[in-house]
Amino acid sequence: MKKVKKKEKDYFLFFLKIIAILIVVIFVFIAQRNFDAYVIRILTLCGIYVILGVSLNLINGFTGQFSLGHAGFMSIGAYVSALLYMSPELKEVNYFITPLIWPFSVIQIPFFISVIAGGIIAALVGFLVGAPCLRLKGDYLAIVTFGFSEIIRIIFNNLQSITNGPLGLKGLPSYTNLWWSWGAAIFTIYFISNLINSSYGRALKSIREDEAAAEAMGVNLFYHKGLAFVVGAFFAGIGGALLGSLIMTIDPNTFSVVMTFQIIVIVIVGGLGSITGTVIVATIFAILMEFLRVFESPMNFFGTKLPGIPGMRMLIFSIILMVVILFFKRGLMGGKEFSLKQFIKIFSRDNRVIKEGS
Amino acid sequence: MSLNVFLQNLINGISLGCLFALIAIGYTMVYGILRLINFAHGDIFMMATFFAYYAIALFSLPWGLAFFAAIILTILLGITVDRIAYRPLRDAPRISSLCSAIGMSFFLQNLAIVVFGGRPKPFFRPEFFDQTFVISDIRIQSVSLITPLVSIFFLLILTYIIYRTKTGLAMRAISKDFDTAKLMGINLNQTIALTFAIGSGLAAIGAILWALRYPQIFPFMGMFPGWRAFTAAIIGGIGSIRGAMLGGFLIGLMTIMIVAFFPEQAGYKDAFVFVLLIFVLLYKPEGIFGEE
Amino acid sequence: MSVLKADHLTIKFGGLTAVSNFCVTVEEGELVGLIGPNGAGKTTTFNMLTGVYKPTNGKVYLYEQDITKKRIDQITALGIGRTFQNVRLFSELSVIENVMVGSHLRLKSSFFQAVFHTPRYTKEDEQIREEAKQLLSEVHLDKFENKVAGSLPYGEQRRLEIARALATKPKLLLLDEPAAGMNPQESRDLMNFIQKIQNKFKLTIVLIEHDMKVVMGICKRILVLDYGVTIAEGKPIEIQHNPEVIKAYLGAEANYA
Ligand SMILES: Nc1ncnc2c1ncn2[C@@H]1O[C@H](COP(=O)(O)OP(=O)(O)OP(=O)(O)O)[C@@H](O)[C@H]1O
Ligand SMILES: [Mg+2]
Repeated sequence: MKKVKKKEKDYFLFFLKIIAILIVVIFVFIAQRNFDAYVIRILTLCGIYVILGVSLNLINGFTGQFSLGHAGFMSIGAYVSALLYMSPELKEVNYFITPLIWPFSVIQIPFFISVIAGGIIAALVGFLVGAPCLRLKGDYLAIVTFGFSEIIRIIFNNLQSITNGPLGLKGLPSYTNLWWSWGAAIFTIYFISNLINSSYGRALKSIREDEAAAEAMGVNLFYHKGLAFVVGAFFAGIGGALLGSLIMTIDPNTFSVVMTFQIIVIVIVGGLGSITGTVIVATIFAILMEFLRVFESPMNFFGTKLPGIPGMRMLIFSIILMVVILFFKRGLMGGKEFSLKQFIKIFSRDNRVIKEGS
Repeated sequence: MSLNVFLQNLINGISLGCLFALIAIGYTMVYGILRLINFAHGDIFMMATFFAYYAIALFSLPWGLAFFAAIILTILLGITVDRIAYRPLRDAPRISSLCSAIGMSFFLQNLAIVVFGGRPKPFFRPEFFDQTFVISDIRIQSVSLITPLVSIFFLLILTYIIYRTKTGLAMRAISKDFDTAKLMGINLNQTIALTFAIGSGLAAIGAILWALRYPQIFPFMGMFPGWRAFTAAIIGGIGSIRGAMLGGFLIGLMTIMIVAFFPEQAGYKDAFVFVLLIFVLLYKPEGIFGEE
Repeated sequence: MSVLKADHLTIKFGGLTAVSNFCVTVEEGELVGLIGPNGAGKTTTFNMLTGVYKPTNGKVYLYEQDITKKRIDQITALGIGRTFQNVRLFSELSVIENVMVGSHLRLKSSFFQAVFHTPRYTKEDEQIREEAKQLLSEVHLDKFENKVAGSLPYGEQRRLEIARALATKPKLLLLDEPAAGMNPQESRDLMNFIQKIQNKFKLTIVLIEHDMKVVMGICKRILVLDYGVTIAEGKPIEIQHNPEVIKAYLGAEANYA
């Protein structure tokens, strides 16, 4: 009897998820046709921030390994994919000081595959970075991952024949649209929330709660932390690749620690260990970033011209971050999730009361 | 490389090393007491240069007075940062204060961009610091000579405070054992505030000397000196004041010498610093000169 | 075949020898008590048996297999389960999740099967959950199943820790002062409970206890540590009247006064 009930509920959930995805698909379809380019751009950015935030939350929030290396993984994704999807002619134009080395100078492959390749290489580096660092804890891990991310940036600045150095890559084809970014975002959410809700996810969370106890329960620390780093880096690479093709210009300093800070803001404000919190805050973040631009451009205030204040956006974000850290210590969602299951629960509450009563 | 060029680099390296030592003290003292990496320290360093800049540019104070005012303001800033961002989180998990430190660094940088503007500003260099001595082929700027003298003077004062006064004793007690020190009736908040004051004051002195040496100031300028100094603190064994000084010298000499001996690789000099940092954290986390 | 054999285990921390020449052989189905005053080296001994500390000298054998150099999680997989002196639950996870973590090491599904919730994985996960529920009802915690572990009362937390250790399907269970912080009545109940699970799961158990009286009833054999040295071994009656043991405990008592 109980089993049947559960099955029914599962189907209902599945059904709801399908409907949710359908709604998103229809929305993207309409948006892509009717919205103006500016709005679409913001919505596309939302998707990318969701990818970045959720993947960082896997490492920092669910596994409890405080990484500051996300920007590094992103830049690897962005550069690797750009090197693969740019046309040879475009490369020649870009690398006018130091020519690009063979074979990158001649190859060109489809966008989708190059994004995946960006993710895979980022994951590989995630493993190489993660492997030696995984025995460090807390702030030491934070420093080491930050150091790695800076090393990547410095190397990219100096490896002219591959990355074009500080000149960066300009005029990248803008392949990233709403479909790519939201598709990838939904896949990221699907992948990471399923991971969290699996036996592996429980192992990751147990590491966050108490490493020694987790190990005593048979959780292989090295393997599982490495797993979190690799998966997180993979999606960071994907996010970086999509971002590169959206903003169409990348240079190594695009992916400085400031970038990591922005994603940390999203994750902390949304709540370490809450995917829904991250998704909500990532979306708000992308939209606010645009709205707050008004402060940074000249304004007409009752006839008087006010000059724009550059940097105001980030200042406001840093204040929000500090307020959340100091007053809402667990972030917006406090590590909890808002889920369809709860949604169902709300509607089936009377039902449950009767069941328990009988 | 001729002996003269080498000597010139050596003096430069020592002078730079002194600056890192001054900054590193702030990291090491705060870490020793609170087990907190004060990510905002590099930005406090940056603020000091702007304070000095505006004291001269806006109030046209004579440079000595302007520098003094900047140091005082920076000390107040350091204490305020502790009061606002760290003190409320003393009993929270360490990761919260780490987040807070990152947030504070982010905040100060953006505050500086908004208030002072993002463009680099030329720092006023009084004539006193602008002379060049020529001693048989070696050309040395007076800053490079003044820096070590000033630094060593203040480092001696610091050593005196830490090892010879009651306050220093309280600091050492807290850094040995936070809870016991609390039980023994040491006024924690006051001692911690003082730690921030000393760290920020030394950072301010370092910052002004830095700006005299590289007379361009901008909101992100604290980052690299900050990280190098932090590396110095780690190499010296974080929590150890003597270690921070030695680490600072080592990092200063190293960066100068890399540029001098491998000019083609100069672009990688910060990468070397980070590699060193990672290496020490992984294989000798107590630091090379680790003592206390 | 002996379940556990410790052969001259010695560990030094700097100049301090925390445990020296610890030897014991535990046979299938035994319930052995390990007692001793504060700081005697009991927990340290457990940490050597479970791979947390690598002994300076000596070897540990589980079913005659040398496990001295194995990783902690490997040792758990080979069949040693443990609890901690100061309860170490995954406090923000639910009660049932705590137990389910213990089953992770036997998960057969691959990572991708787990992530994509393939039928095979779903079935396995269902099974793990069922097992966890059974264990919880075994320790009378089934009604707390979805509560956050950290919110449980202390006594329940201790039982949950045992359930969690049982989920790893240990052959040998090491309990570090399971009765710590309990009043005499509670301790007695707990000891009965331990005997019950021992029979039910066919376990071999080594139990640390601070207070001699608590273990007298259920252990057939007791080892006494003092300053890292095994000063006595034998039946409870013998231990009770062993002058060395009395001296060690009296000395400890005197220190308290
Ligand atoms: N990691 C370590 N480093 C240094 N000394 C240690 C370490 N672990 C334990 N010790 C020391 O080894 C000795 C034995 O400690 P242990 O915790 O094993 O005692 P115990 O018998 O479990 O005592 P209790 O009844 O208090 O739990 C103590 O002196 C302790 O300080
Ligand atoms: Mg113990």
